[in-house]
Amino acid sequence: MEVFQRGRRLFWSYSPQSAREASDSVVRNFLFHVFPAYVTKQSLNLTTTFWLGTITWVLFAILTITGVILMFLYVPSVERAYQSMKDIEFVVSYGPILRSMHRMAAHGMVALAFLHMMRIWYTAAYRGPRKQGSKREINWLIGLILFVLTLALSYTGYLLPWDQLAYWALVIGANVAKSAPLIGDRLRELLIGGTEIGQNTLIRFYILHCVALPILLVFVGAYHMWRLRRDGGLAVTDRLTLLHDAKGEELQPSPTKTYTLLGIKEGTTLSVRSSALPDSLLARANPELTTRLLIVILLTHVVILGISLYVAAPLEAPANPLAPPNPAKAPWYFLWLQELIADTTLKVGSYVINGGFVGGILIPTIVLAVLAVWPFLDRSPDAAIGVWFHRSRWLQNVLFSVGVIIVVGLIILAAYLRGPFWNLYWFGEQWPQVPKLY
Amino acid sequence: MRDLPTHSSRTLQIIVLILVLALAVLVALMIRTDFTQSWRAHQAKFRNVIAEKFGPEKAAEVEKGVLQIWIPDLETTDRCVTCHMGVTWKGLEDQFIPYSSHSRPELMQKHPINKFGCTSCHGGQGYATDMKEAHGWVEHWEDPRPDLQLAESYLLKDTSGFIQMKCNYCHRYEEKVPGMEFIDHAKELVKAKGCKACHAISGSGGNIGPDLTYEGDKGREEYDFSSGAVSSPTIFNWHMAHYKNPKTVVPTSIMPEFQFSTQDLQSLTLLTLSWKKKKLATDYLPHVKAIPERSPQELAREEAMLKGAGSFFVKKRCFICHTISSLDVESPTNIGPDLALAVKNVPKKHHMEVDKFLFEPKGTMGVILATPQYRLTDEEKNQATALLKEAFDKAPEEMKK
Repeated sequence: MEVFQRGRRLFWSYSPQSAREASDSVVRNFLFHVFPAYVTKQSLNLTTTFWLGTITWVLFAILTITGVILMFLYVPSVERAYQSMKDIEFVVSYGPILRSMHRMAAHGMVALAFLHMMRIWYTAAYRGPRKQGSKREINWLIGLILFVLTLALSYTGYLLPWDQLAYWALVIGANVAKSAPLIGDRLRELLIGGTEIGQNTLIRFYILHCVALPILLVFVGAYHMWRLRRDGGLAVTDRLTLLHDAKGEELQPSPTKTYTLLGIKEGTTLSVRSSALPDSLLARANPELTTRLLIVILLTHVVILGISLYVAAPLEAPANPLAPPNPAKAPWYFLWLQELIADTTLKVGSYVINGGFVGGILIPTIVLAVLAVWPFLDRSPDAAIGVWFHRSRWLQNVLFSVGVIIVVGLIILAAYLRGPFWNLYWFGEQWPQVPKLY
Repeated sequence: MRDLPTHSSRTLQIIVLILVLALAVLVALMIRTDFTQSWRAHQAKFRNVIAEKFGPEKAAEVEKGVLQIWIPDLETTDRCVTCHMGVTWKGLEDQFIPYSSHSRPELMQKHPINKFGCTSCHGGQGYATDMKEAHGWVEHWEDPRPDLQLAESYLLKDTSGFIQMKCNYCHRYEEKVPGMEFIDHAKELVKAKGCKACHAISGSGGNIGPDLTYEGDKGREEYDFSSGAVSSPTIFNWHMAHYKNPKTVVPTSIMPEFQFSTQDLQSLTLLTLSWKKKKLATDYLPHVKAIPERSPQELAREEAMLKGAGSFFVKKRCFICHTISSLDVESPTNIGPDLALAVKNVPKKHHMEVDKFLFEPKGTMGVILATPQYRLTDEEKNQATALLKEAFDKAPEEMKK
């Protein structure tokens, strides 16, 4: 192991000679300064978070890097967009892998962000001890905004190839916008940059995808992380301090610690309380957190690159405004909405229910609104914070699970059982053949 | 200062090491993909062929890397020459494809590769640099390169018919073009069978049937295969079956059955599919005499038909199927009997006087007169009957026998 130790020094400068030096390493390194000096051991446990939020960030980093390279290769014009996709596929060195990595990471980011949200719900991590003035609920709201931004990034992203999928997704999106009451027509015009889908629409979505939304996501995401620190780290840390309180011993943070913002705000933040936990519960952020973070980063890269080597990102026929693909399906994370739109387009007597509005606007808005206010109304005991499936929250967990099952069920239904004209075909049932030229 | 470990556990360090190695392996695999592309092997082999045949100096001149012919006028980017390197060379006729010269140098001379590319005649996916993708037999590529197997499935002896179809994108307005036998034959049929009596093609013709000017652009979703008469759902098959017997494919069709031979069917299908809306730069249009729409004699005859005694039958479109010889009305199709003898033949065939027949039509005429395009008012029916009697009176005696 001597060789390993010595070799490591070549690329790993961290080699503290004293405890003080070890603690300072967090502040001395620019990349590490976002971390606290100490974290609770439990925060590092795999089962506490499964590192879902971290993976989401890593995927975002992969998306940014591959995305910037793709920006050099992609031409955002109606005439050239599809051709430039074909160029990336066939003549750019590692182009297909690059594009696949971007696509797979995008799928992954949506999935992981959602799984992260599920984790937060099932561990009641969206709230902290109210007595101590915790405001974790705000971070849940920020998280919801981040999730919507992620979906918006996906939607704007898959329009850019200007293939059939892109064009008809735009048509569906434009029709959903149009179905909004009162402002529908204006909303549609705002979305597609005119009255017809064309170059104006493409450039609008290009700027949204490459500039506006990523910047917004970085800022909102940075606030998300800052709030996490301000709220005292992971919810499981709150649990540790609460357990400590329950024993009747008071936590004695060092009086020099305040963690107030430039001294403007009075009092101390929650993380000051957790810093007073006994050493047996704590670990140094560097190396314990940083090493695990490195593992998560490496593992995510290995998985994404591994998949991208063998799975190609899809590219359909060039956009044809005259002939939609049949069936025209959205990517999986929007399929449940598409299914809802199809299912809520109903005729009741002579009255037609507008599915675009009900399924495309009303239901998603209600779902988001319910999710947004839920933590503020959650009256479960503090003992549930940071615990997976706490017994006191069984009803909430069942309700949430039912919601998730419905969404996943709708996605499966739309992905596998919907054929031409959105007709229902059972597993294995033959779809009518789509005619070919020869 | 807290007394906590300053190094992470060995297990974690080993996991990091394993992952770094795994990533290194994957990156190596990724780098490898660029060197294992099949076109590289083809180019290496082509250089060997040239070295063997023309010496190593010539072989050194062979270009390397992805090659393409980019023709902005045709919106075409053809990378076929990346593998098919021999097509522009002379003296490689004896080599195997893709190292051989083009098999039709005379065509290549008239259609320089730098002006026309490859896919404008052969089809396929010009963007691609991988064989399966390039030949276009992949999902989401709607214009694959026809191969021998495909030709055989349509009873064609080679793929030339499919290429002729693409020739006609530019050669559309020519009557005859050397080497375009299928299309030339089909163009003759269009004239001989009087398709324009019912269909508008390139801006002229009747309005009974649909306008066929851009029939080749019709989307796959617009074809109806529900009749079950088309063996496998391809647009090509649809047209073949429809030309053979229109009613089996479109039950409501009033298009007649023309007893076409297989070659007629193939030719007409290829011609129909070639009728596409193409934006062509002027120098792509062949500088030859266009098909004369109608000869002066034909025009004079048409004029006479429209103004003569039988003009009623022309205006009411009866002439599409019926000739009325004694009134100088000639049908382009001759599907129905000559009406000069209607006065004599109607009672024989339908057991009723000609005066009554148009009011109570039987057989085919019963169907035709019920369609909106052919409906006649009572006044028109009386007029027609009177004219039919006049036609019979004028008919020569030997005909009446």
